[in-house]
Amino acid sequence: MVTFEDNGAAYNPFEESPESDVDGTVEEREVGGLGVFLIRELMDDVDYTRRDDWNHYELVKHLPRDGVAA
Amino acid sequence: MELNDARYADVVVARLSGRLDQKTSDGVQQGLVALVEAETGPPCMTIDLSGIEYISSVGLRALMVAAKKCKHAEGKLVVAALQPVVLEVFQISKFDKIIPIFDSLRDALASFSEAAAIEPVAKSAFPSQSGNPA
Repeated sequence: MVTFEDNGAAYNPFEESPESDVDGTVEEREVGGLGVFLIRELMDDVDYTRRDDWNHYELVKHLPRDGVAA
Repeated sequence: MELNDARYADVVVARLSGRLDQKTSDGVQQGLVALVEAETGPPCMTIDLSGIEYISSVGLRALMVAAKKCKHAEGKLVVAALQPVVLEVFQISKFDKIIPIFDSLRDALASFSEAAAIEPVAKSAFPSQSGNPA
């Protein structure tokens, strides 16, 4: 599990960032907008909380016993 | 991060190595766009990703910009020799649907022309490790 935090404006990227559209042709697809999408896809769980004017993010990835991500 | 380029017949090959992330992607994007814009005809570009050990979302952005440039100029961009972790990111973000992936540089070159595929790699040898930093 990785946690990080910042004291910027309240922002929950997992709820508030626009949905990434990964379908379409090279002409149709937008440039960028994949950061939150990749985190969502690669992590087993993500969580956001706002406490005392701080943003807290929690990313969870389950690892097998040998320590290598599945 | 390094970006070296070489030419195989009608195909320009950009070989990247290192990490394609927040720190390096701007330079890589500029380098790739410059290579595409230097082509007089429809650009044929292969990006050799064998030396890329990590790619982030901004790295994908750089490749997308280059792919759009190629397409706009009625050319084509493909990638070759992705490490498993880079391939996974390509598949999740469905970049494999918009940028053709080849197992090897040779296969990628063959997708453009026979002339590119039969050119000896040694003849178009990339500059050594002292190549242009991206």
